[in-house]
Amino acid sequence: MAAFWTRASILLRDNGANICKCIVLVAAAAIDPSGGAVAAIRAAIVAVTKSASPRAETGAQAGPAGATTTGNGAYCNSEDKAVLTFRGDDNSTYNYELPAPKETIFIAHSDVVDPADAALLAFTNWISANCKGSFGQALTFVRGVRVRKKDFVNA
Amino acid sequence: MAVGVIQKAIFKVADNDGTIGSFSLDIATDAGSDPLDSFSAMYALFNAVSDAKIVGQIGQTADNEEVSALDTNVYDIRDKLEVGYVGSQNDHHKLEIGDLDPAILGADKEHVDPTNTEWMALVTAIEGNVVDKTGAAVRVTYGKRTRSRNLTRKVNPETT
Repeated sequence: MAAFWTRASILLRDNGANICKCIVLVAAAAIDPSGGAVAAIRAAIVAVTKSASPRAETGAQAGPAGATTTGNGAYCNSEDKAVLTFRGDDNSTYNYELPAPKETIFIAHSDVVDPADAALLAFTNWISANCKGSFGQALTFVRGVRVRKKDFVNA
Repeated sequence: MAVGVIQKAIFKVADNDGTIGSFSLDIATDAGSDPLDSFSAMYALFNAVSDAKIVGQIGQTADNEEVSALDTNVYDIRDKLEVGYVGSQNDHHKLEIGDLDPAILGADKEHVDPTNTEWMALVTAIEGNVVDKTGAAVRVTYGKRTRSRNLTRKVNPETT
């Protein structure tokens, strides 16, 4: 369920480069920090200071997604991860850590994901088709490996 | 002003022990849209590759273009304008704005001058745009100067 509000965070920086954040709630639809409610509040805040505001951001919040459910596979603890590596079209590298990966997405007796696994393929294809790198780069799936938090290593 | 080229979505997940994890993805910016709206088709795909379930979602949109009144000031970012406002459930809130312009203060230099143009514009902006957690408008109740704790000068008793 979506919230009734959007969280607006307005960063201020004084002449000595010290910073602080001003945080208020605005209407749920006020997503764009460069216009509307957030821009109006930001302009009014800056006008009562002698500081600059180098950044404003909004955070929309929502509760559980769809009908996702937990499983009890071999790697079902959320501290177990599959690191999915994507390459940006500028040859940059992006690693996404998938928590609690299903054991079925890995090659049997291996820590490497099976690139032919239908579920994994659907997930990585969706990311490639819909997601971007930090600077807007298109992403291509490269590989995936299982990693464990240090806590899980038994000496 | 311009929004950054990407919007971020952060998903908080829980496994069947209740242990929390998270992962995030970026999408191309559509400034007026909640980035979470773009992920409705992803949930089932996520569920097919993970034993965790999504329990919370945050969508972030950022504008990195500077808005500035930068100038020298007798105050700095630790000197605050404290703005009090009240929500529809009689819930009280404080907004602290650093590096305040001394010109908005009244003769006592501690409380805002209620007739100051910038102060009145701030009140209008808050009452017209800020909401409480039910989504209802808020009402500004006061504005006064305050200081962060680390600006308080303590006298060392050993030197007195």
